[in-house]
Amino acid sequence: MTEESRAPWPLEIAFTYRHDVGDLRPFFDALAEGRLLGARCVRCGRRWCPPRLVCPVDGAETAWVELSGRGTLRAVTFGAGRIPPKGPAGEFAWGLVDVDGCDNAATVRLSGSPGGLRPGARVRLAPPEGPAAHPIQRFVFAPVGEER
Amino acid sequence: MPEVVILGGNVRPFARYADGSTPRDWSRAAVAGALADAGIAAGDVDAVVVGMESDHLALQLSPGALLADEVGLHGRPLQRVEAGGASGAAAVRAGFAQIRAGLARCVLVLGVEHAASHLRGRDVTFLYGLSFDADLEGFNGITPVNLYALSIAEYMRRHAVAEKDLALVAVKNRGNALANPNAHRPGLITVDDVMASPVVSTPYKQLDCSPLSDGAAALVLADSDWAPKLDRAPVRIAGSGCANDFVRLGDRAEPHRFAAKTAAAGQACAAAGLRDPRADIAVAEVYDAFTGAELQALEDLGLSEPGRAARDLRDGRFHREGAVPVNLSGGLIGQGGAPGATGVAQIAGLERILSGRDETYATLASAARRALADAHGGIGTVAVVHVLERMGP
Repeated sequence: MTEESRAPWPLEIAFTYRHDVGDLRPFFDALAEGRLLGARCVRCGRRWCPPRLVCPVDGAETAWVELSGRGTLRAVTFGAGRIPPKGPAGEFAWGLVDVDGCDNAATVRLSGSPGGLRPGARVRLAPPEGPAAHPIQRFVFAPVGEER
Repeated sequence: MPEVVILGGNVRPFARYADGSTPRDWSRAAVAGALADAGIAAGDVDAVVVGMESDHLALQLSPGALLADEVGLHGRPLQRVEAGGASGAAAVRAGFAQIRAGLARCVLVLGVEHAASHLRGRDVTFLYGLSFDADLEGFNGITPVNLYALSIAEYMRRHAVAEKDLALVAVKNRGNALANPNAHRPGLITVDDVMASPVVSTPYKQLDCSPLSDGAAALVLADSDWAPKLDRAPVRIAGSGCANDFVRLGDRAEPHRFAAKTAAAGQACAAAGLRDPRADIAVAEVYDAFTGAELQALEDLGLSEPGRAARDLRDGRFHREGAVPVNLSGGLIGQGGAPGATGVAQIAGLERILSGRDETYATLASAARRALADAHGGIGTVAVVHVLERMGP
């Protein structure tokens, strides 16, 4: 067998999914309007953002609750990435944000000046303008005062 | 309940294969090697378990059925097991459980992954980004390294650990891999090399990260009452534990910890009758997807006190001549990371050390009686821990 005959061949496969987000839709619809929704346990009152449709503490249902969209940055990381995930490479920041009034933290994309993205910084929901390949790409926070 | 012993094993080199070979080829070789090492025939195998993480990476759905067929095992119970990076370890646990339950006397466990050589890096990164919470994180561009970076950033802040402390893990594991002929990334590197390597996601740099690898490994597990007599003291699986955690880091009470490992290790150690892993475990393989993840794991498995892993590492406790050598294979950073194969290869390597069959660590074998193998999927999301123990002297 020749070297040429053993060469692999390119196999390109593309799929188009009819993707949806089920009962999480109110969260994404609110993001598209620049608002932040959380989920409040009907039994214990704990609040979750990102939302949890079943409370992980007591297993009860949750109900949607409007949040301020503000929070505090707990941890941050900077690195190269692609948004949308198959788009061009760029430099991005991601953070763990304690959303005001909630019992969990959110993993979000961050915008704004790197100097302002420090643990302890106050941040606010700042969805980018324009279309998003997936609605979660609007889950972006920026330091208070730097949001558009 | 029956004791479960490891009759034999085989690991194919972890690498990025560019020789035209495929998972079918690696699987045939690993299974043939494991059966030969165990000294049994294929007809002796009662059941087959296949561990593999991703159908999308392999471009093969239902890989368990295909690979069992490929290696020539038919007419037996077959299951495919998936637990992300712990897929191989979970496959071992499934085989262990079948023997303990009396459903089989001899189980072949095959772990395999086609993770690295056949796709562009950006495509692999995209697919792995969907292995956490795809809709609430992955499609926002967040990838595994970002999540591990956020977790370790919090850990470093709480415990005053420096980036150079993380780098020591890479130096140790790449160095250990030099003695492993199956290792993907052996090498003599320095802390300065790690610090100077390109930033991937702060604080992680390129040399803090394990490579994605192709690979395969197989084990033969057996009921000790059925097993043929070995020319060595057999190694048994003394305990197996498994636990899950919240998928999203922010839902966890302590995002800088891998609480699932604590639960899984607690189960495995209790089953093995161990009270204190620090005193009772002589050698360990720990899931070091990133340098900091090894430090986090060492504490959450009970091999270091909280916040002390970096100090213990600096003091040499986890080096090959230390009190508890960790990742003598090189770990994921040195041996490579092939999710379906990793957990199987960890146990195959530890069995060889405990049984005295690994000549490189013959001195260690005389003193080491118990070993711990730790693997996880996600970011410590599904943890699987095994305790191995040499029976007899």
